[in-house]
Amino acid sequence: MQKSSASRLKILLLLSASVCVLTSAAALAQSGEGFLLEAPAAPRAVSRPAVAPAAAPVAAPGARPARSVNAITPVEGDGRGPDETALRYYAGLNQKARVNAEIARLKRLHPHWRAPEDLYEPVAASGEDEQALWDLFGADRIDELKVAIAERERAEPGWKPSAELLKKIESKALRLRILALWKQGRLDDVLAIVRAEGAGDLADIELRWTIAEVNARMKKTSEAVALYKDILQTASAPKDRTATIHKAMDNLRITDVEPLIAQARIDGSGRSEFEPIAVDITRARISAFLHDERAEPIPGAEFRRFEDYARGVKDSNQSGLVAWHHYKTKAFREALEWFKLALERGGDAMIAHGLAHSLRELGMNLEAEEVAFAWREPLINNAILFIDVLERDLTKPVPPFIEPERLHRYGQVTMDMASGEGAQALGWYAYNSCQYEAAYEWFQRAVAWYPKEATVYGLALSSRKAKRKDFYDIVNRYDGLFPKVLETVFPDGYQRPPSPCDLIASGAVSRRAANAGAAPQPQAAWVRPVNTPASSPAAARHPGWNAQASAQGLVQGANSQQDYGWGLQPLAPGEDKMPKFTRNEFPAAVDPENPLRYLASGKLMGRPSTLAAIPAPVGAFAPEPWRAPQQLVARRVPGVGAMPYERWGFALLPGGNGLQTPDAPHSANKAPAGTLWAAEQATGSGANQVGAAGALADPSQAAAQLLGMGRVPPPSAMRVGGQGYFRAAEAEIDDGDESVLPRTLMRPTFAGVDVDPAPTGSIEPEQPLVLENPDFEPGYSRPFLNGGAGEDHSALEPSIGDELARKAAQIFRSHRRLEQDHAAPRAISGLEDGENTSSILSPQSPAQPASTPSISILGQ
Amino acid sequence: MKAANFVLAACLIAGACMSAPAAQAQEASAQQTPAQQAPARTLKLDGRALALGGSLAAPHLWQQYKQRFVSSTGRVIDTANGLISHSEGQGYGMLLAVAANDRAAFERIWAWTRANLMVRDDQLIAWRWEPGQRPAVSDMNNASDGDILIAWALAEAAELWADVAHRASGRRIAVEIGRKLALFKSPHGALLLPGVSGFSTDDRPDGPILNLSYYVFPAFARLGAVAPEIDWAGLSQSGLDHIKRARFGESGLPTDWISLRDGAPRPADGFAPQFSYNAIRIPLYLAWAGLGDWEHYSAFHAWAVGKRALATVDVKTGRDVDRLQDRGYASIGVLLACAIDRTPAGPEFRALREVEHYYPATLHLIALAAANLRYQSCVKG
Repeated sequence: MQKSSASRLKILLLLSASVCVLTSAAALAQSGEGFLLEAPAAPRAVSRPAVAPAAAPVAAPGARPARSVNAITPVEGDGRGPDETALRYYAGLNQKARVNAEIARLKRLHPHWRAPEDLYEPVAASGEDEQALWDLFGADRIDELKVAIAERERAEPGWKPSAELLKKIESKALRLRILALWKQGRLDDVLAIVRAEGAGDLADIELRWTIAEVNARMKKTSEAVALYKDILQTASAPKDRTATIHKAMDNLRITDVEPLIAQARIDGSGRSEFEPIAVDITRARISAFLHDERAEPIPGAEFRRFEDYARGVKDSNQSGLVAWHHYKTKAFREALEWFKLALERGGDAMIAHGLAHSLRELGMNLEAEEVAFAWREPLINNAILFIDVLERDLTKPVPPFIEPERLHRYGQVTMDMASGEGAQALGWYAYNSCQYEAAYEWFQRAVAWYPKEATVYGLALSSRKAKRKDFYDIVNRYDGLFPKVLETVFPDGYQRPPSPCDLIASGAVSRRAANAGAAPQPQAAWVRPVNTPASSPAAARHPGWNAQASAQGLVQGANSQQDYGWGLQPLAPGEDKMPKFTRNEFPAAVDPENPLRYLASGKLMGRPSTLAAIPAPVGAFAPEPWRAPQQLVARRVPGVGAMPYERWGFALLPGGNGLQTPDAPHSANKAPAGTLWAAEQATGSGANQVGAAGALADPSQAAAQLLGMGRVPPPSAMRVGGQGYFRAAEAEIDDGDESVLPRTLMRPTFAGVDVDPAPTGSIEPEQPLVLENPDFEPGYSRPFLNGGAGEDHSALEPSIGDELARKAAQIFRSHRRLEQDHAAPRAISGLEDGENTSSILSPQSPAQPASTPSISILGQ
Repeated sequence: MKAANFVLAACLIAGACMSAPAAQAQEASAQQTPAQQAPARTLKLDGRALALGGSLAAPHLWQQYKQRFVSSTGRVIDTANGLISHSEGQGYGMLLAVAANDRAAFERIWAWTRANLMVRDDQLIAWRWEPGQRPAVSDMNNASDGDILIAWALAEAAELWADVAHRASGRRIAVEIGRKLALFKSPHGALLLPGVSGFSTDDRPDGPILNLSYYVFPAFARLGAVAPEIDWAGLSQSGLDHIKRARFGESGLPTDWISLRDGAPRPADGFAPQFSYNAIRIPLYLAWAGLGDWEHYSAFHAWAVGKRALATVDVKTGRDVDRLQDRGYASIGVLLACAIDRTPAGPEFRALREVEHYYPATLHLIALAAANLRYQSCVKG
């Protein structure tokens, strides 16, 4: 950069000796250190100041180039008018031709400037024959200049440099010091000098901009604003004035710049002088709005003008900004259209993220899922969104129809990401569809990856239903921590209707149907598999189990629950008994460590990873040093509520911190004041959004960041799935022989939005459920850690995803006929008929596998 | 040794500290006498955001560390503290595994962490786990530093091994930190609460409470890779600002726990007004990130560099409290001397002593990784 500046300068010097060019030289001298060494080589055709002491553009360390200030452009002078130094110098030498040329140049740059009338009046100080000194001055060689003056004073007793030169030297020395400190990043020192000495007479507009920026960077916002304001009050050139606004926008929040913008001069037609940069101002305002630095959206007329601008330029970032603004104002339909436009213009994965969110907000979850899936690889936010969007449907008590391909790839992404969120969703989906083996396998992964209360509860229930041996291990391991898990063995004193699955299992459904004289009408389309980590048709291993009939029965079973009443039915006094356990059941000693471990699939979003597999561990690990016997009595844990057995008078040991009584459950914690979470709780926002806890920061903020809109303020994260995890647990509470929470407490809420899991009317059998039972490969379901030091588990992982895909595909094929009723091609509802959905939905990245499904091919 | 730290934290988290007798309230060191300052120096630190992967470059030390503190199931054992584990230790273990480029160990430690500590119903991590207790998780509260260390380690692992699973997990935790633990619009600058429960304005009369050693500066420089929408730079800046302001007593050192209730920082009520096992990590993190100027370091430099043995300090009286005998602690001084004075580290900096416990040994390896990452000239040979 320096080199090119210097060589460019040489050419300029060779081409012309005009003051204008030489002024540029001074400018470049500031930014290119190499210049001073090379400059003397340039022809010095004229005997006058080689460089008029004009201002030089200042390159801030690491600063973005000013948008409207060209570093090569001759500097016109400071905000108080053009620099007349050179002009007066020529006048002092009576070089009228040069004076006239300089006047012409200054007028060209400053149309309103008038040449001083006192040009040819004698100067107070001596000033004659200072050519060589001015040369040094012009070249910023201040130290040499001082030496030269001292030498001449010694050689010519009585001689004094002109007062003007002295004054200029002083100012320039100060200026150079300030700029040098600025370049070194010593902002404190800049401020100290300016405070102590002022900015000198050479406080041209560049220096004043610099000082304002230093104040802004040092968080002296009001000082910075005052400095910019002062510049606006004195600068007359339109270019300087708009550049001042630009610089202020670069360095300050737009809310601080607004008072400066308000100082715009308005012409006779009511047009603001800042009209030419109106788009930039609006862009900054939009960015501030997305960053939550500005509360109110952009007013209609101004925003429409920006929309016109964005429509007219090819830059997808501009349409993206419009889209995110619409998104943030909850104009989701408009946001959708603009996101589509931005994508067509080459928008990136963050634009696709916005598209997916808009679709989700418009209730088009399927389409949102498609977009998130297609763009999952370039941006992890999309992969997370993909998991979170479908999670909501999967965890519904009676899940809606979900195409096998969707389940398959959901399982695949879940395995690729080792997502506890995805695994528990599939676990509940399987559980609520009476497929306990599949549920158990998914819940094992969920508990390895994200063992929160609802997930462990799901594992306990599935373990018992699947008649696994670890049921009481789970109950004992989480005694004292997860009351809901303990509720699987300790009744709460109420009875509930049996679950649809239990009704099916007991034969109640078919009896009822027969009594009603209406035989169940198997609907083929109900029958569909849940892909499990690996699966095969249920009937293969469970002879006599009729998937179709079960699916039909599930829905009818749900309807039949009405006869049991939805209300909470207290158990009869004699029935509400403390359960009896064998010694091996409860309480029993158990290793407190959760032994479940599963690695991710090792795939890079469904594709083989190019990276080496996880190597075998090198060297030994520490032997577990804890040797004492395990406890049989739980102790209290801060952040955990009462255990269900406490109503029979059983007590827990005091907590490690002395806690004697049940604490408020941590999930009911009030958000700490001042956090975004607190703001969400206060406004009820956030939690009604889709996505698991922590997954979704306000996407518009991430967008603003990725669109290069500068500093990022805190996210106003949306919370979605946090409470959602309990939905599933609550949904499956219908487990007839389980006593759990009162149904009135079972209503899942999403930030105040009730999602009714317990419809009082009949459930239409529109969304049937058929799940596959698992058929696990040896080693697949094995934890990757078996505890041995030095054990090589690298081979345990390998082809989970492949196996998953292969098995699931078999099942899908076997059920293809059954799915035809649901095979109607779907298109994104927001798209026009005939629009090519895949071109919009799929990333343009060549890395994307060609087989990435788009919604248009689903079900075909 | 570190037990005191945990007892304090537990007391604070449980709110028990709030009922501490008023006599215990430490108002004295609110007199923030500026420390005797050494003349200002210009530091030339390298504050670039550098990838952590491979920076430990001491396979034998990491091997020793694993053999002593990491169980085969991935549990990082606090040997001086009842053999418990905590989110901080798991986070350090994960970071050191990345720094040692030991993916197998990383997977074990992370798998243990999520399987045993991610029991909260959000993306944060329960901070304390005790073997032999029923249940082993002994507090549902989180510790922000543990969360940050783990999220950072995941982000580093995602980059080093191109692992989308770790990227996703790191992002979920990082976003939750930004959402539940950061106060970005605080009048005191961006604040990081030490935990979800027990530290905010509503939770304590002297809240919000700050623990400056929870500002993991090198993490803030790197977490943008997984959660760019969070103002990590703002947290860094406010952390630096608070370090400049929280200088108590003659030593000019900060206490572990600080109240910002009155605007100006003061030692938090109910805690010993000590620069102790928590706060000694502040200069370690600063140097690891290559952040700060002389003002940030001067008090720590005076405390650590050239001392035969370090000690925790009562900032009120200026007296030493606990001698920090283990060499691991001294490594903080070695790192500071290296970063600030360019003093070469001695050979002991590259050795782990058998007798040292988890905490000093961990600090030692971190100091070594930090020196390898940013101050290589000091650790050559």
